Amino acid sequence: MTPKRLHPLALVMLIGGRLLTWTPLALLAFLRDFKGGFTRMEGLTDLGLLGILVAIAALSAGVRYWRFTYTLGPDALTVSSGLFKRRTSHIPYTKIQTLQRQQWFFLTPFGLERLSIETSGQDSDKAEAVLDAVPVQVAAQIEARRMRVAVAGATDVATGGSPDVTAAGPAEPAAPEAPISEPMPTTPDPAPLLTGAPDDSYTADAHALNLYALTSLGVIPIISGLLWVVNKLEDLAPKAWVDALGTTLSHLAVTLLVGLVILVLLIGFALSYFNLIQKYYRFTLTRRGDLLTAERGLLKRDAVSVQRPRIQAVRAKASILRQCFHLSTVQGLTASSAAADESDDDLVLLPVVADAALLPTMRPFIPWLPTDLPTLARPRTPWRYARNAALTWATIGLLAIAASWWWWRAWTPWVAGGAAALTLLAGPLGWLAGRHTGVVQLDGDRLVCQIGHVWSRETLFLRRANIQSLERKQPVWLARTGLGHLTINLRKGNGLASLDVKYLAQPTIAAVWAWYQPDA
Amino acid sequence: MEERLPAAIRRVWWIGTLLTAGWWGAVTAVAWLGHTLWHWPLWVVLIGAAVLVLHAGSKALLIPYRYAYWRYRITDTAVYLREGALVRKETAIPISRIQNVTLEAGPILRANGLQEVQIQTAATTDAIAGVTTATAATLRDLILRLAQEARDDA
Repeated sequence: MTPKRLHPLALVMLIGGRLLTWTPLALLAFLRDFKGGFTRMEGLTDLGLLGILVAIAALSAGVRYWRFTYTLGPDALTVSSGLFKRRTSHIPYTKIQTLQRQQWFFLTPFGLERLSIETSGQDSDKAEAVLDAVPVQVAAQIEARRMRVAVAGATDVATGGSPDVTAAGPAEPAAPEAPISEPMPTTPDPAPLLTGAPDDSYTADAHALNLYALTSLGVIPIISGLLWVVNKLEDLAPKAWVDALGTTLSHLAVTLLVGLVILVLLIGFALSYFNLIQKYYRFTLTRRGDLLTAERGLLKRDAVSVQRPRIQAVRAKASILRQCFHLSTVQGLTASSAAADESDDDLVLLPVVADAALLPTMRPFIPWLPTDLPTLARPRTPWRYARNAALTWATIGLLAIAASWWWWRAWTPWVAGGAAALTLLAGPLGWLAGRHTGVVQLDGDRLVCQIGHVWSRETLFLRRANIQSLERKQPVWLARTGLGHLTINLRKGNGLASLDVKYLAQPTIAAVWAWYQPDA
Repeated sequence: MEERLPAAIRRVWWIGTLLTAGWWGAVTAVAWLGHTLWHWPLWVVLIGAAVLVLHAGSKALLIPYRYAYWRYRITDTAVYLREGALVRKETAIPISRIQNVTLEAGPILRANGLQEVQIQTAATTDAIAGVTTATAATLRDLILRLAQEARDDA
């Protein structure tokens, strides 16, 4: 097994990546000179510095390219990297949680892609192995070998290693894995798991994609980003320009100013919309055997593959806006942090789906989901949720008013108005959140739980084997009314997902407790 | 059968509280020095003193409360931890989810002959604050043996 280097184009990717990270800093320094008017000396110095930056990027990328090798062994992937501190990682194929393939449009003619391999190790937020530019066959080979090792492990009873394909937990027991001591078996490769005809397939049509982008709240960070950029430009642009702009703006009528604000909002919204459209273009979810693959993207085709048993939980999430249209996003919680969504780091299985069609669409892919949503045991009355929400937002509002009184007194009436509006809104939204909270056991193995937040709602479908631990809390002031809190702990990404279901009746909590541990 | 923490853990917690008080006392002393020598504002000293009183004070006040209400129980299938009276919290960790048992002891725990038992699942880490070394070893062996059986039976 000779170690292989990355494809030479990886150099371009690596240099590009480094430049992208460092360019904003360079640009900031560049613009500072620009502000005071440009002299020839400063221009040359800046160009020189830019050249040095490019040289450092090229050197760093070159070292990484030269020192990085990977080997596809019979039962593990070995990755060597590092100049001073040599680092060799062995990743057994059976331990792989997710395989993420990213292909930029300019790599397609060369048949290359970037491969990220994650296991359930909690080392850091980065993938355990990242192969920057490798031929597309590598991913299929890894999957094929994983299948072969798993099959060999399943038929080899005496060694005591447990096969991954049926294990429900995310991490394997302390018993050592069965070493495959014989040379690679001569059985033919199983049907290509990443490229063959899928057993089940779902593609988000243009209408669904449109809905997803339109109902996204991603416009808010973009607008904040735009406002920040405008603010920075004001600092960095030459004074003469800023003064001229100021004079022009002050002469505009109010209507024109309002028009400008609306224009900025529209631009922000359009940017967010097109960004999401290109990011989720031709979203496809496919199943081949036990392997689920979610593919998306226009400029960069992104495909994440995960073994079905590795999915810790299925979550249907909906923001306030999407709730109005009865839409949800379906995500799968895995023990690795691949495939970031617009708002959090969970694997997206369906970007947007009508609530009524959610379970029928997902069941072919994940058969342990129920056929329809059962009736959940909910808090008797949601007024405590409303009270908590109103109190939280009132406190935030008061703090904001105090801060604005201290530092920006002119804005205080606006801040006070905004705070009052948010508090008034938080009450009813909190009530709704309470109505959307509940839990119910489906059978000895499955649980459905719903948690309402002020601005969103989530429904989780769980299996008992994936719940790492259970907590119940009984505050002394709720003892009389017979209420308590339940916390379900799951593995998510590289850490913990703690699901808090609050103000449930004691009998409900006792039932879930007994379901989790039959012999309390 | 529910177990309590050993009485020696209170001494460990007291020493910890004294160390916290000492640390914040040092910070306040530096702030006061800065106030007298380099004209730092008085509120820095006052904040230091306030944090000292609040942090160390709350830790000290909670020691008898924590000791009185902490319980643990290990059955064939799960580890149960119970704490608190104002908010009664109970945690259930099935043996089959336990990935790791770690025994940890800093110098203060070691000086008192105690060890902290950390129980790790794939997502959470729960700890029994301090048990005698002998108990710790017994607990670890018991939990790991049950974990092995749980997996072999599965």
